[in-house]
Formats: sequence, C-alpha cells, structure tokens
Amino acid sequence: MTAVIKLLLQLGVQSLLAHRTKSLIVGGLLAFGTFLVVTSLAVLDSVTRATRASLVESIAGDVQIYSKDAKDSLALLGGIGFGTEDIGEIDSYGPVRDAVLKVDNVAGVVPMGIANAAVASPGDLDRTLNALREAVKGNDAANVMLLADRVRTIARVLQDQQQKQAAVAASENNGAGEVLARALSDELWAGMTTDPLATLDWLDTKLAPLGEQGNQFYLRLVGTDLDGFKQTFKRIKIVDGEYVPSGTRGVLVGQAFLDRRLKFAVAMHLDTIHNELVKGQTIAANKTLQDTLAKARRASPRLVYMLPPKDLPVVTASIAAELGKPPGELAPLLVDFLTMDDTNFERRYQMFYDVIAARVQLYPFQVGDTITLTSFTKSGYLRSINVKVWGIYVIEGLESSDIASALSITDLMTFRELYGRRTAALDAELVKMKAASGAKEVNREDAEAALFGGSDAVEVQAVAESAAEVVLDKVDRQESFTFDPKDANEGFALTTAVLLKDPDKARATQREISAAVAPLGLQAVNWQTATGIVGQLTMVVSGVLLGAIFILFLVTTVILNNSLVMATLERVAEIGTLRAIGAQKRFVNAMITFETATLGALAGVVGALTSVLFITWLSKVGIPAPADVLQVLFGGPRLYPTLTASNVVAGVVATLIVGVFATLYPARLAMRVQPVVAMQGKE
Amino acid sequence: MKASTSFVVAAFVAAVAPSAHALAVPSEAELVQMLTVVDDRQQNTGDYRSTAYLEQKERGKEDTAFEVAFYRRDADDKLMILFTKPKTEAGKGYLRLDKNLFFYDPTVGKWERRTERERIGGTNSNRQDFDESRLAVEYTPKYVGEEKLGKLDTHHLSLTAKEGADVAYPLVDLWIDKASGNILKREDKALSAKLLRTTYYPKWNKVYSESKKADVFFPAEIRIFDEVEKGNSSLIVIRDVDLKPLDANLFTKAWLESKSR
Repeated sequence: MTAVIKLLLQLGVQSLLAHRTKSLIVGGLLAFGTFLVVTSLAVLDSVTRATRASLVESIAGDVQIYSKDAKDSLALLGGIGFGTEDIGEIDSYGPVRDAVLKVDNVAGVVPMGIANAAVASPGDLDRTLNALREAVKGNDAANVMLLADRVRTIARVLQDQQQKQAAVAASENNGAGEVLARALSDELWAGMTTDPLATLDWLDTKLAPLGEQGNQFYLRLVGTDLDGFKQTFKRIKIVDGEYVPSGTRGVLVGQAFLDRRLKFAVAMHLDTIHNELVKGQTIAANKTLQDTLAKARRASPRLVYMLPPKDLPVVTASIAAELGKPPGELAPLLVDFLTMDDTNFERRYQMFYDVIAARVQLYPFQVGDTITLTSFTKSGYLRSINVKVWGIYVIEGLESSDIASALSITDLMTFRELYGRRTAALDAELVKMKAASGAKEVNREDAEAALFGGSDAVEVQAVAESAAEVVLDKVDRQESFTFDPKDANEGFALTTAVLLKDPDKARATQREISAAVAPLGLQAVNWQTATGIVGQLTMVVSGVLLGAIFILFLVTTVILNNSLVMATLERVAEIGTLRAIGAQKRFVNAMITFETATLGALAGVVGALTSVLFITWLSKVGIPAPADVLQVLFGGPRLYPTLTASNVVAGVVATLIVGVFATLYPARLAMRVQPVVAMQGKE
Repeated sequence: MKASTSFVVAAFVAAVAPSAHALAVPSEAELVQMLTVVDDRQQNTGDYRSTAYLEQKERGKEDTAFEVAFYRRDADDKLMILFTKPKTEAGKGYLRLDKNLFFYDPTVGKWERRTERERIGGTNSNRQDFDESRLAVEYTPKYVGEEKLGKLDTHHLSLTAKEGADVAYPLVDLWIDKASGNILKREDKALSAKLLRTTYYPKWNKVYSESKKADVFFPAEIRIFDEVEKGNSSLIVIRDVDLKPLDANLFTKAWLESKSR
C-alpha cells in the first residue's frame, strides 16, 4: 500500500511538473478559491461578532422572550414600517425571570417594553410665551423681564421679515402689521404689570400665530428595569448628565440620534458639510454641499432671538470682525458669515461653535429638562407624561451611529403608562356612559335606512334649557416622579432580554430557554431576529456571502472540470501505456484524483497563506463603513476582521473537496482509455 | 336687529322650504340664502353650553368614549371643550380663540397649539363639528338636485370653500331636509374630490333663546363615518343645551386650568 502511494505521489509530482502550464492554471484557480473562501469566512465571522457586540451587549441581549400569541414579530430597533408592533404581553415578569435564571449560561435577565411617543416641540414664539406664562404664574419677575424681552426680539424679526415681503410683493398682511406694531409698543408691555394674563392671552392669540409653527418628533422608547439594565448592558456609556437614579422616572437619549435628527438646523447643516469636507469633498465641486449651506443660511434668522440679548453685542462684533465689516444688524451679518467657501469653512465652522453655538440651545431639550411624552395607548386614549432627561448615552464603539442610538431608554413605570393597558374599571365606566347616552348601534352599510327609513319627518324635539354644571372628579395629575424599584422587577412587560455568559453556546441555551418559558405561553428568539431589520440584515449579508461562495465554487468546479478533461485527453497515450503495462482502472482513477488532490493541497496552502496575510493587513487598517447601517454591522466606523483556525481549515477542506469533485469526470474518461487506442495514437 | 333678522329668516324658511321642490334649479342667491337659513337656525346671539357623549370606533382597536362639556360664544368666535369622563380624560380640554386652537392636558399641566384639522380626543370629529355653523360665509354653493334620503326628500348641494376661508374640508356635499330645513347628511371631501368622511344628522332638537327671541336648532345626534379608514366611525350625542349667558372669563386658559385644580 505504501509503495502504491509512493508511486502515485511520484507520478503525480512528475505529471504536475510535466504539465506546468495546466498545473499553474488549475492551481491558481484553487488557490484563488481558497483565498476567497478563507477571507469571506473570516469577514463574515467578524461581522457577526461585531454586530453581536454592538447590539447584544448594548440593548438586545442574546435571546429575547415574548408572547407566543404575538401578532407581529419582535423588532426592537424597528421593523420595515417603524410603527408600533403588536408583540403580545407578558402579564407577570417575575415567573419568567425565575424560569430563565435556572438555565445555565444565563448571565443576566431584564424586563423590557417598547412604546413610540411623540414629543411636541412648539415654535420659538409659543415656547417663549409658555415660559412667560409660567414665569408670570410663579411671580418670577426677573424671568418675566428676560422672556418679555425675547418676545419683543422675535416680534422685531417677524416685523423685519414682513416688511421685506411687503417690499417685494403687494400681498395682504391680514392685519399682521398692526399686530406686530402693537406687540412692540410700550402700551402693550405696560399691560404685563396691570393685567398680565389678559396681555398673555392677546400675545397667544394674535402674535403667536404669526410665528413659525411648531413640530413634533418621535422617540422609540424601550422601558426597562434601569438598575438591572445598567448591570447587564455594559456598552451603554453616559456622555452628558448621569444615569437615571434607582427608583426614579427618567429617560436617556442617544447622542447620535440627537445630533442627526433633533439638532438646531444651522448646526446640523454645518456638521454635515464639515463631515463631507473631512472625507475629501469640496464645496466648490459639490452642488449638494452648496445647497446644504444655503439651507443653513435660510435657518439663520432664528439665531437672532435664540441668542441671549446680553450676548448680542459680543456675537455681532465677532462676526463683523470676521467679515471685515462694521457691526450692525446681526441677521444680515449671519447670512454673510454663512456664505462660506472651501478656504474659510473650517475657520468659520469652529467660530460658529465657539462664538454662537456655545450661547444657544442646540437641541429641543437638554439634560435636566423635563419633556412631555405622548402616546396612543392600548386603551385607545392619548396619554401624556412628563419625564426628566437624565442623560445622553452612546454605545461604545458605535458613537456616531444614529441607528444604534435610535432607542431612548426609560424606566418600566413610564413605559407602562405610555403603553396604557385597558383596565376593567375603564370598561365598566364606558358601558355606563354609553347607556346614559341612549344611542343605538348603526352600521355604515345600512346607516341611511336605519336613520332615515323609519319616519316621513326628521325628529325635531323642543327641549327646555337645562343647566349643565360641570363638576370634575379628582383629576389624574402626575405628581410623583419616583417609584419602588421592586415594581420594575415584577409585573407587566412586553419582552425579556437575556444575556448569555458564553455566546458560542447560544443555540443550545436558546433551546433550553424556549423549553423553560413555553409553559408560560412565551417564545424565545435570537438577537438577529429580535432586533428587526438591522439584525436580520446580518442574516441577509451572511446568506448573500455564503450564496456567492457557493456560486464561486460551482463556477470553479466547471472550469476545473474542463481544464482536467482537456489535460486527460492530452495524456491518452501516457494512460494507455500505463494500462498496457498492467495498470488497473482503479490505479488510473487514483492517479488522476491523487494528482488533483496534491495540487489542491498545495494551492490550498498558498491561498490560505495569502488570506492570512491579507486579513492581518485588514485587521490593522480596517474596512471602512461608509453607511450608518454598516457601522452597526461592523460594530463601529471600521471593521477590523480577525481570522480563526476554523476559517483556514474550512477554506482548505472546501478547496480539496471542489478539486476532487471536479476530477470525477476526467478520471472516469481516463479509466476508459484502452491500451490499443494509446498505441494507435502513437502511430 | 337680531330679532328682526330671525323673523326674516323664519319667514324665509316658511316661504322657501315648502316650495323648494318646486324650484327646478335654485339661483345662487337662493342657495346662499338656503345656507344662511341653515346657519342662522343654529346660531344663537348669546352664549351656548351643552354636554355631549362622544364615541369612537376604530377597526382592530378597542372602542373609546368621552363625555364633554361645550361652551360657545359665537359673537367672539370662542369655543371651549372640556372633557369630563372617563376619569382618565377628565380635565383635558380645547380652547378656540379666533383662529387659534389650544389643547390642555392637566396630567402634565401643559398647553399646546393644535391645527384646524385636530381630531378631537383622537375621534373622527374636529373643531368645526362643535363650532358655529358658517356655511354661507365659508362656502360657495351649487345645486345638484333633489334626492331621497331614506324616506325623506332633500336638496343636494355641492359646496366649494371660498378663497382664504379657514375650513377643515375644501369641498362639501350637503343634503338638506326639504321639510325642516335641517342638514341630514354631509360629505366632506379633499380638494381632489376624494370622499374623506360622511356625517349624518338624524335627530335635531330646538330650544327657545331669549336673546335671539327664536328657537335655536342643534343636532341631537351626529354620526361620522370615516371613508378613508373604512370601519372607523364616531358618534356624538348632544344634550343639556343651555343658552344662558356664560361667565365673562370662561374662554381663557386660566379658567380651563382652574377646572382641574
């Protein structure tokens, strides 16, 4: 046997050397295939590890548990529609936690709930008037002065805009000119002392409609046991403010989400341009950047009243000095200042942040502010709740990804209120109300027949006046901002996040958890499924990459097969001679297969080594993530892939299998060669 | 002055309404007069107060309901809606002053400016459903024809909003009862003529107004069907109408806030 192997090896090496060109082509193909397989597997594994680290260790956990009866799939980071999914409910979190903690390999368990909430952001004038009303109510004379001054500044800006419009178009101002003139008159502001509420009502109803409209932004909230969450998810870092104290209501908002979605328009546009210039773009050559700069200029008049009045002279002087102009009206100076080009952008960008942005509020709220979250609850009613913004967070490694920081984190009590389950008490109250109304059920389809088909005349009843005194029961005011921390570790939730000690055993552990929570009517899914579109993207990327590898191998097999058939046909005489001197068909088969396997092994080693060098280089320079979603997949702005022994072994083995598979047909051809044909060929 | 106007209007109703079917195509002036009658019958020269039951059905969701108190002063374009039930909604309210609509939530103690199209309490009804009827002022009418609505004979009018009119729907179709002069059906449409909602007014009540020296009509029941989100509907039952003068300070933010203290 050893002698046969030795002979096969000798013949194989001789043949490879004798047919150098063929060997180089086939070997090159196999080496390239090995390189691609090893590199792809290494990148794929690295992407999965990086995504896991970014999502699992920051918010999702390895496994998520939710109701078996859920109408929609769980999508923590939002599904395709980014709406509110119906993922069922967990009535009592306690038994779920206890069942999961009995499973080995579980490092941490936390309850979670998801709710979408709207936050109203009033226009500048409404915001200032609301604050002025509060200051009046609180007898805060100093603040009343300050805010009244701001209202006058806004009125001046509006008056300026209105006069400019009137100069270019003879449009009707519907009395706006008179309202603005009165808003700037001493007579009106004297009323703030004599009858402040009447003055405020006038400002609210006459002046405020002339200002810019407010808008709304939405927060996707994950409510959780914040104490347990802090211990379990270590990659969440607070960059401004502090973590919500135990037993306190509050919300943490993602830094990148704030910067990309909620920042003051001028700053956000300048940031965009700055980031593009860093990447090598120029304003001169990029129409989009020029348009972005124009948008910043259009948004700049707001700065005039966003800046504290006491700072206006300093800011105006600095801007004028930069422009080489005498100080004057700030609004036109700002427009000139924001007319930038590639030579002055970086200097003015820095100056904007040093001189202007440092003096204004760049976001609709800041750390320490209380914001009002409003949501359509499950009970069908709107629910608003005041929550303090305790801090701004980033996910370590994903600091600049707004997808990763799209979730705002809040306490479970706030979530429960915003989710608003329907209660039996409410149902009973509604039944009573309906009975008192005396109204009957009418379907849309037969409404006209039901309402107008009974009588020839419309029912018109004469009724006597009746006083309708309104007496309200105790109104549900939000007064407490604290709760018993134990309540966040028991009771109602929507999902349960489980973090594992050893993620390599995730599949087995997930099966164990599934079995443990099944009696509670719950299911367990992995983090790829649970994170929605982002996590599923990793599965899609894996699928596409594995599909590409499969196609590559198929093509390689066909090419190899063709090359080997050609090579075999060229060796008919040689094979015929071997057969003539007594070589069996099996020997010929083994010889051809052994030859390719030897070449495959050599090529596999060369391909794998090249891949090792390539991945080593990539692990130093990294693969950049140009898009935000890639940042999540890469676990940061760059992916630094690493190679494992299994990647190399898998690559070499796959190459050998492909090589041997491609030899099957040529070897069969070789076995069919008859010695007499070989002799004829010689003649 | 107001009393004499009411008399003229009443005389017009008596004279025109029964004979309306005899008019093949009423002139534009006659149509405007028909709307004026509809408006005027509902207008009160003084104040107006009532309570109402609001019910909202949405496909795939739990039904919701509210009880509210309305306060209206048409002379000053003022309107207040105060939610009284269920308990979770008590104290919330809307205040309309001129062209401003504000919403107050006592839970968080905040006022917010809302738009004309605000869905009151999340129902399919909006501010106009509870406000003074101004059809003749806000719309230009066109006669479509005589039509049967169940067993009732009606005039079908097509209305287009006048330029600059502050209305929720630019196109409206009305079916006015020939016998009583009350609106029985209303279709609200978008500018593209897409039907957005259909409203029925099957019951009307009237109460004698001392200030107007005439009856004031108000729909006792309003049923609104959403034509975009099929299956969604709202029901409004109005009762306890009171036309006595209201407190001078009622239409203020401070008054609404005080109700929930």
